[in-house]
Amino acid sequence: MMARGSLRSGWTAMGTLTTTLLVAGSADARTLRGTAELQYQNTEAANLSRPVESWTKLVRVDHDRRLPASLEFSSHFVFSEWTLARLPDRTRNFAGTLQLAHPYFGLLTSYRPAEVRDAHGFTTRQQELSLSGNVQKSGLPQLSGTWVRRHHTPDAGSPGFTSVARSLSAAYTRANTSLRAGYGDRYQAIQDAPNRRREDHFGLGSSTQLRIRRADVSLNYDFGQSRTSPGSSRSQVSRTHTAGVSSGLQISERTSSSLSYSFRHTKTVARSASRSDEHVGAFSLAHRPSPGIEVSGGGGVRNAMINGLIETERYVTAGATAEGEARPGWRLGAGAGHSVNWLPGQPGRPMDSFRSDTRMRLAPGLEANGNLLISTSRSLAGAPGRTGPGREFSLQTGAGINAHPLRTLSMDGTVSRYGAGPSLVRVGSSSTTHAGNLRLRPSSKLQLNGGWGRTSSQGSTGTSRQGSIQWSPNRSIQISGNYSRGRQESRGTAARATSGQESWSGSVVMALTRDLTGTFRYTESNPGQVSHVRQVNATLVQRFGR
Amino acid sequence: MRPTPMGLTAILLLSSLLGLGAKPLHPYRTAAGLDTLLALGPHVGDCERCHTMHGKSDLVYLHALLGPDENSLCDVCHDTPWEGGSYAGTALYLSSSHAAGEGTVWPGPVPPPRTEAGATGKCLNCHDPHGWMDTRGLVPKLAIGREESLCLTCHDGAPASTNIASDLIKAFRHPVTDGSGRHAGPLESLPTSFGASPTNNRHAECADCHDPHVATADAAGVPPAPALSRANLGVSRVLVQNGGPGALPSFTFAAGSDTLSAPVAEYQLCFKCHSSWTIQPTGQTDLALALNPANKSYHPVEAAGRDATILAGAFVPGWTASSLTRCGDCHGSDLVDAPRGPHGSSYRFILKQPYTASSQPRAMTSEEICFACHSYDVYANPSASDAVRASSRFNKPGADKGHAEHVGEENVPCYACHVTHGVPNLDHLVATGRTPGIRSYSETIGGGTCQPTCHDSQPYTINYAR
Repeated sequence: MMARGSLRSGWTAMGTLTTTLLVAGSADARTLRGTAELQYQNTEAANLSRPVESWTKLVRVDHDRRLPASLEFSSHFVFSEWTLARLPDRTRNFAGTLQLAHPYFGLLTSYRPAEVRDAHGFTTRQQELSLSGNVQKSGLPQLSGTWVRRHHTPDAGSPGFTSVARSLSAAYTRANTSLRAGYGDRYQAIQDAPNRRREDHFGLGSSTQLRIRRADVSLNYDFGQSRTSPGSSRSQVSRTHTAGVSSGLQISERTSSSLSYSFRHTKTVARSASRSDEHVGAFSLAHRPSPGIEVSGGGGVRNAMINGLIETERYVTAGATAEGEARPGWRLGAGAGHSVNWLPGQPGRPMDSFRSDTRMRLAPGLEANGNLLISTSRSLAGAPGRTGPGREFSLQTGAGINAHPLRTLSMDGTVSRYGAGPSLVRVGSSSTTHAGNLRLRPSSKLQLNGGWGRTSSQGSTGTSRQGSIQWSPNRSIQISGNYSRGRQESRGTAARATSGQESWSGSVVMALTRDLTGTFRYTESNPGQVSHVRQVNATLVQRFGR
Repeated sequence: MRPTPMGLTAILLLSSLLGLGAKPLHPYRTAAGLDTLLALGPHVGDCERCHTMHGKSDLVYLHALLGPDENSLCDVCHDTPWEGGSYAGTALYLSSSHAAGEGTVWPGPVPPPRTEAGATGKCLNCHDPHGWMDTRGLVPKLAIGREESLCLTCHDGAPASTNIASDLIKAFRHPVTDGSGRHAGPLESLPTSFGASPTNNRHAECADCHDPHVATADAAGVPPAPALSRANLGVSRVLVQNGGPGALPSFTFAAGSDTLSAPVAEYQLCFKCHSSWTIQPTGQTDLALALNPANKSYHPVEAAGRDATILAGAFVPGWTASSLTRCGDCHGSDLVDAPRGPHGSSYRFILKQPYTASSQPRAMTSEEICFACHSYDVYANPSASDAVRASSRFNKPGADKGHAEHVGEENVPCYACHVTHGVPNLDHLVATGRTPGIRSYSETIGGGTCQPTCHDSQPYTINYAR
């Protein structure tokens, strides 16, 4: 009953609004555009007793109209139907959107009913109706609001379900200060179920930008409250206060500093209350003795979750980076950092990192690159997932080459390696990846691509190969083909397992007339395996309007 | 239907605004404004790539464009898939929800809404080829909004039906709205890009988990675990290669383009931030280490669980001992009709249902997250019949203290005796070292011995064979 009422009111509202606006005033129709699409798909699979045939029909219509007083009206409608031949399965979707736009306000409403009938003939229906709007004018607060109602019609398999969500927000900016506020709530009810779920939330906040001498200072504060099932035994209330300050100061032409601090207090009241205070603060000082070289240092506090409790961790850090051109066509970059982290009452845990990357033009059309990243850290005693304290190294390296020997040919190859363990020599785990790609474009009408990759690690090896061709003999036809093959081989202590995937596809796209396009696609995956699938797909798309 | 006071107020407000002789608010749509904008962005000097002053062909297009005012004009130059990191080419974009969906049209108000026919799915709904400026300067990637503010303009309930905004204001959430400018773009590929130290680069912007040019709805329903939702396709991840129990795993970074050909698991996306591939914040669990299937026990995220003979009755219908689970089965919104994904929740650790990570005695309820999969009656309800409780091996009929009595009578929460994700050296996710909790635990074929902080060492026998 409720569903029918909602359905009727949704259609009525949209119909009335469309009719009114279409005939309004001295409006001049600008455009009516759309597409009609018909698709046939035939799927044969090793696990299907007979081929599955499906039809998809889709119609999309867009319309817009300029109205007096800077008003613009637009509407979008989409209807789609998917059916399985000789089977009851069917899905129907409709979506209609009406929009009214003005420089000072906007209104948008949409209605989306959907109907799904499954293999047993059971039909489920749901509808969504939404309204949203905004008002904005320079010097006045900007307001926006939404109202969304979803309804699932009760059926043989599931009870009815309704949810309504509303929100209203306001923002106002004056000089260097902006204020914001918002309220929202949501209501959920499952038919015949005793529990109805409600939640609401509201928030307000402000930001201020200041200039104090040579320093830019930003201050912000936000308060938020979320209530779940208010007034019931399952109620939960969370209140969060967040305050922050950040500042940047250019001390001299080469030296700058920044300071930021954010405090977040969260109090949650359910059957019991819990509080948490989180501090995130950082101070940094950076100096550039020459272009391309920077040394920096700093420190701060941040949160750490230790055995379910939030603690405040302190840290200090120092680092240096250098970047520049060693020779024309050869760029080098490097950086090193050292930091010490410590928790109250615990010894400090040092962490070091070093990175380097380079890019070199070896010859016209030939470029090489490489990168290296080493980090070492000491883990926290008793940290979750760790067996104990100890020093850990990780190493990530990569090298690659890009070549354009001809204007029509390009190639690239990369090798990368990851390792981690108690030392750089005794690597506990590692993986190595090789990859290569080739692109050939002998003419503007023909393009060929190929790629190969191999990853080996911890006793398993995965390889992949792929290739594609695209040929456009003239402006109205495009022919393409793809092939890919992947294989994974795992070697355990006694057993050896392999798995693989292989697929190829071909497609033809033809512009039958200026507005009518036809597409034919054939795909075959994993031939000769239990997961073998063969699929044929044909689509006609007719465009109309301008 | 009687007009409400609020409705009348809205009508009056709109009428007064209409009478004010509105002028379009296009602050950068002047010759000087466009020059300034273009000079800051990547399209500087490119006017003639899109516009013509002299009409080179018979056809005249809007805004003196060289072609129709639609995506085909962008495709003339942006024809190399993945060149910018997240645009995978025309074919993939056309199958994405943003192109093929019902109404991807920018709703405004700033920049103004798109109202022309055929606006659905246009690049211009999210990008302005001239650039767009906010109070902090030019918005990167020629987008018309910065980071989450772009996405949330639509994904706040209307016009997109997926309301992510309402989850991102909850007390426990991914820090999407907390910081800005840390996400360097879709080409981030180094562990330090997501690391907490020495420079804090921890961030979780929408684009770290979603590729708006590729993402599409799971039309055939949620894919079976561990497969990644199609809403997350086109995003980089890290592949894990596990070693022995407790051994640091090794990793291979996979770019977003890789998600379209290879089997992709959801946890690989989470491991970008929640594994030792990157430098995690102090105290945060290395989930790659904890979920390693070589461990003595683990939640079945990467592989089916070790204990294959647990009776089906021990689980909530739909789950069995051979089920695989995904991170998103436990972590996500606390509302049932909210979009999937761990955007935010009213419960700590972004859990879908409440859970307190403390071993202090408390009465657990059937609504807590553990009982979304594990039967409350079996593990926590001492009033349940012996036949029901017998599905747990630690509920021997006749014995006075089993699972159900520990939880339901003695108020021992799951956390006191079990870890959540995995443990290298103990079976059954047994946790030691917590107070109250288990000091030591040993197991035999037919039972075991437990020495907790609450009572003396106690042997037990199991209910049915392991």
